[in-house]
Amino acid sequence: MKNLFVFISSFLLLCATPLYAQLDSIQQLDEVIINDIRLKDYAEGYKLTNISDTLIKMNSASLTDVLRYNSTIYFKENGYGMVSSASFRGTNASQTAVIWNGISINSNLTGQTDFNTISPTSFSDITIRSGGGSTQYGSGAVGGSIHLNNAISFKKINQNNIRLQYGSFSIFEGNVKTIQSNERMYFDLGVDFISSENDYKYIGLDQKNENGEFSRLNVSANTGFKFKKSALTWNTNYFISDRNFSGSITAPSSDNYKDVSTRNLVSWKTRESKMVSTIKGAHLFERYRYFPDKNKSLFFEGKSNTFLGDYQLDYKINNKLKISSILNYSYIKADGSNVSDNERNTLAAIFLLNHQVTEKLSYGVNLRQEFLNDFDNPFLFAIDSKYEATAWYNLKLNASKNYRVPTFNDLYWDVGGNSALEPETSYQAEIGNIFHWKDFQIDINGFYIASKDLIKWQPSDSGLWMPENISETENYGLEVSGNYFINFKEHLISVNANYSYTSATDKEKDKQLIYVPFHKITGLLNYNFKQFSGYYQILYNGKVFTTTDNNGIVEAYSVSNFGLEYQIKNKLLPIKLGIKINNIFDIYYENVAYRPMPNRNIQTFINFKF
Amino acid sequence: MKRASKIITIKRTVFSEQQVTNLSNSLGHLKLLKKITYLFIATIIFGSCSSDDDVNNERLGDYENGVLVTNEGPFGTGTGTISFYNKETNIVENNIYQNVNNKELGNIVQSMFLTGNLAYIVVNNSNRIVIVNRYTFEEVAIIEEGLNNPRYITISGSKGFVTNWGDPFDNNDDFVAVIDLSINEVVSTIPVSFGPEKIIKRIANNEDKIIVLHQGGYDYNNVISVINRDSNILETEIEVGDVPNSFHRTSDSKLLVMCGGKPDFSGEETQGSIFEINLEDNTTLLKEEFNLGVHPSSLVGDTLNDNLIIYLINGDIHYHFGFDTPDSLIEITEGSFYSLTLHTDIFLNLYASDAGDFNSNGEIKVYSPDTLSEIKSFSVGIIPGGVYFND
Repeated sequence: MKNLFVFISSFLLLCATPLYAQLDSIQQLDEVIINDIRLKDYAEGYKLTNISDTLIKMNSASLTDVLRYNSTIYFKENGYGMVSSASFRGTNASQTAVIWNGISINSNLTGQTDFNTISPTSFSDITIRSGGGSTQYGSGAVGGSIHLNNAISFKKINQNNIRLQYGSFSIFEGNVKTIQSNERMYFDLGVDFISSENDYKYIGLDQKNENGEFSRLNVSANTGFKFKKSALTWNTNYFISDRNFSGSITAPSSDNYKDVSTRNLVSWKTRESKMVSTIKGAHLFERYRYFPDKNKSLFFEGKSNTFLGDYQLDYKINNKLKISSILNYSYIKADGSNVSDNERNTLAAIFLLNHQVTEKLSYGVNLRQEFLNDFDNPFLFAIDSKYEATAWYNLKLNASKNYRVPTFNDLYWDVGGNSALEPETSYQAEIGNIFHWKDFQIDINGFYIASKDLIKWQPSDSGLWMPENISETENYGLEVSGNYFINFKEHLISVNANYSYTSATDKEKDKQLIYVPFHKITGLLNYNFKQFSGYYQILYNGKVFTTTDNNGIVEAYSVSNFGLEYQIKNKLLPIKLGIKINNIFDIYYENVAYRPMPNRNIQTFINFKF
Repeated sequence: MKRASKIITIKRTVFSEQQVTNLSNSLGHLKLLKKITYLFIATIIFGSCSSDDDVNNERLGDYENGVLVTNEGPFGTGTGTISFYNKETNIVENNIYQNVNNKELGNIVQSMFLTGNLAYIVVNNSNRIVIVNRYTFEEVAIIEEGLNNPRYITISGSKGFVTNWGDPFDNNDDFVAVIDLSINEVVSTIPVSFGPEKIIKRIANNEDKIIVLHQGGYDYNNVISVINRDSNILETEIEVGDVPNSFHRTSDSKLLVMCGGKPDFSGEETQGSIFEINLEDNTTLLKEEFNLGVHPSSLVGDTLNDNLIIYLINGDIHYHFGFDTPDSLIEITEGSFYSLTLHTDIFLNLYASDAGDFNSNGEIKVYSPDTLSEIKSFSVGIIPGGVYFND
C-alpha cells in the first residue's frame, strides 16, 4: 500500500513538478549525471516540459505518439509509423533539434529527425525545451528542441524490468531494461523492439493500410565510473529499423526504407574547487536505404559520419554568477547515391552566463560564434530572464537569434543541390507566465518568430527542382499548459492539458504554411484508486492546409484513447497488467491528406519488475 | 547562346512594333491573319444563325462545349482532378469527376483521350485508367489489371494502346498495353524500348500504325516505336534526337517530333532538335537543331497556317513559322509554362498551363497566336498538365 502511494505520488509529482525547478549539477559531481547539463543550468527564462516515464509508457510505440499526446508540438506523419516530422511553433521540419545526451542528432542529410526512428522507452528523461536554442545546441534548434537523456546515477540500484505488449494489427512490443549501479559504478542496458503489420482498415472505405509493416530494434547501454574528483561516462545507442512505406487512398506502394544509426558519447568530467571541466568525444553514424520496390535489390542510400570534440569549462564565480565556455569542433562526412562524398568542418565557440541578481530576478546571456564553415559563419545570441514576482506568479522572458544550416542534401543533391546556399536565420522573442496555486499550475506563453532565407526546393524554369534561400515566414502564437490534481482518501485524480494557437505565415503568399494547425489541444485525465488506474487521453488537431494557396485542407479531428492498468501486489515479482484502447470512438481521421490513421485498436501489456 | 541573343533582339522588335502600331495594322503583318479574317467574318455570319440550332440540340451533359483540363495533383499523396471550363458561361468547375461520382480519381492524373462519347483518363501512380462519359463524367469502367505506371493512351478502332513505364528504375520492363475496348481489359502487352511516353496513331491507311515516343522516363531515350495496330507487332524503331517529348502531326502520314536533348545535369548534354518522320517509309529528316543548352518541349502547331509551330523553352512560349529561315521566330511570351495545347478551330487558341509552385492551384492562360495577345485565363487544379477540347 505504501509502495503504491509512493508510486502514485511520485507520478503526480512528475506531472506537477514546477518547471522552473533547477538542478544545480555544476557545483559538485552529483549522484546523477546528465550530459546535457546546459539544459537546466542555462535556461531559466525558457519553458521546459518534462515527459514522465508514466506518460511515455502510455504511448510507447513511438516518440511521435509520446509528444503528440503530451505537448503542443504538431507532427506530420506520413501514415501511421511512417516518416514523421515535427512542426514546433509552426517552424519547419528541420527547425526542431533533437538532442541526445547533449548532442544534436538531426540527420546531416535531411536536417530533421524522423520521430518514428526514436525509441521513446530507451531514455530516462525526455524534456521539451520551447524556443530558440541554437546558441547552445547549434543548427536546427529554432522552434524548440527535444532532449533525450540517459541519466547516470551513482546510487545503489539493482533493477530489472521486462515489459511485453501485444495488440491489434499484430503489434508486438518488448522492452527489457536492467540497471546495475552503486556509489562508484553505473551500468544500464535497454533493449526495445517493436513490430507491427500495421494493416488497419480505412474506416468507411473498402481499403486497408497496405504495405505499412514496420519493425524497429533499439539497444542502448550507459556506463559510468565515479572517481574522487572526476567521472567518466559512456552513452551508446544502436538503432535499426525496417519499414515498408504504406500506400494511400489514391496510390499503392511497394517502397521499403531501412534506417541504421549508431551513437557513442564518452565524457570525462573533473572538478577543481570552483571549476568543472568536461571533455567529450562522440561519434554518430546514420544511414538510410530506400528501396523503390521492396521485391528488388535496387536501392538508394545516404550515410553520414559525425565526429565531435567538445571542451566545456564551467566556472562558478560566486553564488550568484556562473559562466561556461565551450569549444565545440565537429567533422561531418556524408555520401550516398545522390550525394557525392562531401565533408564539413565546424568550430563553434560558445559562452554562457547566468546571473542571479536578486533572490527573485535572474538573467542569462548566451553567445555563439562559428568558424570554418563554407557559408556565412553565424554569430548567434540569446538572452533570457526569470522574475519570481510572487509566490504564485513567475515571469520568464527570452529572445534569441537562431539558425539552421543547409543539409548535405540541400547542398550536394545530384541533381539539383545548390552549393551556394546560406543558413536559414530566425529571430524570436517569448514571454512566459507561470501561475501556481497549491495543486494547480498553469503556464501561458506567447511567442514571435521571424525567419528569413528559408531553404525551399522549387522548380526552376528548366523543370529541375532546386533549393533556394527564398522563403520568409512570420510565426506567432500562444501556448497554455495546465495541470491539476486532487486527492481524497485513496482516490487520486490528475488532469493535464495543453492548448496552442499557431499562426505561421508565408510572407510571399500571405497564407498559413501548409501542415501547421492553428489549434491543437491535448488532454489527459488520470485516475488512481488502490491498485487500479485508468486514464483518458484526447487529442484535438485543428484543420491544416495541404496546398500553399490554402485551398487543400485536412479536416480537424479529435481522437481519444482509454487505458486501464492493474498492479498485482507481490513482493518478489510485482506484475502490472494493462489494456489500452486507441481511438475508442472509431473515428476516421487523416494526419496527412489521403493517409487515413488507424481505426479503433487494442493494446495489452504485462510488466514484470524484479 | 548565340541564338539566344538573336531571339531577344527579334522579340524586342516585335514588341516595339506592337507598341507603335494600331493592333489591326500589326495583325496585317502576320501572314496567317488573312485566313483568319475570312474565318472571323464567316463566324459572325454563321454564328448568328447557329444559335437557333442549339435550342433543338439536346445537351449531352453538363460538360459539353468546353475545355477539360487534367490536373496531375500534388506529389506524394493526393488525387489528381479534372477541371471543366465552360465556354458559354466562362465558369470553371474543378474536381468534376469527384463531383459527379463522389470518389477520388487517383494519384497523378497523367493524360486523357477523348473518343466517341467517352473519355479515357490515365492515372499514373494509381495504375489505372478511368473511363467516363465525356459529357456527363459519369464513370463507365475502371481498368486496373495489366497496367504498371501507365502514361498515355491512344485509341483506334476497338483497341486502346497504353504506354507503361513499368518499374521506372528498370529499363527492361517497359511495355505498351493493348486494351480490348469491348471488355475494357488488357488483352496483350508489347514490350518496347524504355520510357514510352506519348502515343499516337497514323491517320493514313485506316490508322494502321501506332507510334510511340520514347522520352525515356527517368532516363533518356532517343527512339520512336512503330507498332502494327492489327497484329500488335513492334514493326520498327526509328532513331531520332535525344528525349523525344512531343509531336505535331503535319499530314496523315507525317509527324514533327520535338526532341528536347539531354539536359546539362545528365552529364552528357545534347542538343535539342526537331525531326520530321515520314511514316510511309519510316525515314527521318532533321528539320532544326537547337543550340546546346536549349531544351525545347511541348511542340504544337498548325500546318494550315503557314506551318506555324509553337513550343516551350525554359517555360517561355516560342512562336515560329516553319523552318525556312532561322529568323522565322515571331514572338516569345515569357512565363513559366508547363505545357501547351493548340486549339485549331475557327480561331487559333493556344492554351498554356502554369503550374505555379506545383503545390497550389494552377492556371490556364489562353493566347491568340494570331494577335499575339492573351485572351483570357482561368484557375484550375494542382499541376495542370493536359488540355482537351470537349466540343
